[in-house]
Amino acid sequence: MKMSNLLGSGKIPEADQNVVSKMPQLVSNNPTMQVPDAAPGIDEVDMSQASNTLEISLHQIDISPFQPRIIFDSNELQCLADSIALGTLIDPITVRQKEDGRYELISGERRYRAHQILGYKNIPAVLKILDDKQSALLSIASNTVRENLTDFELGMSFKKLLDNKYVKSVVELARYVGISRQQIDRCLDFSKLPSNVIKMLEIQPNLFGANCAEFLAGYMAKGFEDNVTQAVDMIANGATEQKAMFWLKNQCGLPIKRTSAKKKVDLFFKQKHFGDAYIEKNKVIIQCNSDSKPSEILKNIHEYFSEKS
Amino acid sequence: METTLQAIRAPKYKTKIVSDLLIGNHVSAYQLKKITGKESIDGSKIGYSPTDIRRIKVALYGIDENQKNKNRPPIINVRMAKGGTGKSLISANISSAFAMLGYKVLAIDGDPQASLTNILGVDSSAEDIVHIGHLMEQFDTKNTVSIKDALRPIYPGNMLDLIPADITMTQTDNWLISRLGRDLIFDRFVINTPDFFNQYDVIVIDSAPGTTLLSYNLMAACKTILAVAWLDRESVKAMNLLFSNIIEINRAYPDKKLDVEIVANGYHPSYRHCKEALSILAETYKDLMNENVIPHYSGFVRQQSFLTEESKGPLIEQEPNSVGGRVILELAKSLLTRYGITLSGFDENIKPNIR
Repeated sequence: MKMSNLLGSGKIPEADQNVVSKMPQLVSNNPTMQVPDAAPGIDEVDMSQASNTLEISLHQIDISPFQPRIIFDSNELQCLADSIALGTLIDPITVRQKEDGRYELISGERRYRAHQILGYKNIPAVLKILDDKQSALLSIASNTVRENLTDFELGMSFKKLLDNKYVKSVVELARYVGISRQQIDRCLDFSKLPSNVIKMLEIQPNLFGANCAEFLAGYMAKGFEDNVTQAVDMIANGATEQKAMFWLKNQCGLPIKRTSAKKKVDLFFKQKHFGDAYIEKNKVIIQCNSDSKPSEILKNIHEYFSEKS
Repeated sequence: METTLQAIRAPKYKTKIVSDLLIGNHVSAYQLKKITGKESIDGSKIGYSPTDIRRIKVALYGIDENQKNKNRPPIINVRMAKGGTGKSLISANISSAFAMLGYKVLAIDGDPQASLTNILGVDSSAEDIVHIGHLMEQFDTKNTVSIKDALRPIYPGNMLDLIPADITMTQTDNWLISRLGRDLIFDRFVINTPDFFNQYDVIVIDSAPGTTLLSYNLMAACKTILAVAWLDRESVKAMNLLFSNIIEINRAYPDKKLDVEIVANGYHPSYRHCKEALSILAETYKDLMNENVIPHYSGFVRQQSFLTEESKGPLIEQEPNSVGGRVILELAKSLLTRYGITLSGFDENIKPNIR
């Protein structure tokens, strides 16, 4: 059965031109066609229509609230500025227009800062038409892919995205940024740490990694806030992550130490200190001094109770 | 312990079919007998298996069969964004047809419904299945891939092998989601396993209708997608979805240049909507339509095995000379040219019917 025979036979009706004109084509991009995308937020909108390169005044640019990077290495910035000063910027920065007419920076904050250092007035920029969600996702996704962000910076920006409901779940986030769900969970554990620890991290984001954060967050959940803070102090004072984690484990893992910190009663026999006693659950434990004899003490205790009864 | 699995069926074709349908040049029955060394002792009719047909072609064209295929074989991904358009039917039948024509075929079932697996005769519900998702996972996470465990020979002599599927394939997406470069894992798997894949002349994949990560993987590995359009309004609408998939892949991987070949399926002369849909498709996609139109033919219903029955194989294998069988064979021949399928590097150069 051949198409040409069928069409030539005259039995096939003329095609409905209304339908034909609406059918999608592979080559020309039909604007009415919806593209269901695995990552609709990050999808590069058709460059020719939705974006174009402009020269934008530096004063008109606002930094994205979703910029994950906290610290900027001044040496690196100076190097970048020097290279820009030699020629012009090859990669334009990416901005979008906000409702008040100003521009929001989506990617290229270091390039922007380098231009500020150089004292330039304008910067080449690609203008994209994006809504809030798209711009937030894009500014984080472009940074996670390209730059060596610390785990803390990642964790904080992921939390912002989740808090703003731009992504519904960690699974969805994992799809957008291309990082595994487990790693995102670990990065999110930073936000569970005590507030003074987070302040330390904001100054020094590379203090410790996501694995350590997950470990510390685990002890936070069990209520060892003070010990966690102490462990972070140790790291800040030069201890390795492993050493601090080991210390924390020992500190919190032994419940006897905690109960031993409870009240001890000093025991005296004929004005002489022979040891001390404390309670652990339903036991009364008597710790003898080195110079006293446990057998004699037990004998005395036995005699004491038999006299009473 | 190594056991080689028995091939499930060993089809034989009559002399007339072999000389008329399968081999373009005129070959006499005597020549066929001579090449294959077959003798009918009691005057009964001789049956030629796919291996015999391959041997005949090798002898006729003077092909060096030992020559290793250096390039990876063409991949035919049968896909449509809508279910029930006859993807499994077409993929089972063209796989069988290619084997009939003397080509070594690897069929991969990429659909958790396992219809291709069932049509070809493997009972996915009763057997332990290692499917393509397992293989991709092994490839991505471990160093060794146990293709042997997955492979089911359908015809003897590796003429048609199947990597089956079962319902557990739905879980493949769960691990794919967290992998790096998750769209191209299947592509990398094929490229990095040349010893296995390059022994075949063509790979036929039956894809699931939905847009899943697995179907993306299978799509991104092939050059041209074979879209099966059932002739009704719904299917015409589903084109939109399929095309957007393709455009998306092309945008993400510009060097892929994915293409599509559309086959109209289920033509019935007394249904008006069939004719309307066909005219719309033919008008819109002049260059993308395959010349062959698959008719609404009752034989295609018969090939489906029911739970109690054993599968008898696709229609082309049972009734190669029927109306449906002939169209399928024509379709397979046109695909040889369209996809550049070669018999151990030899191009049969079957001229397509030009509209």
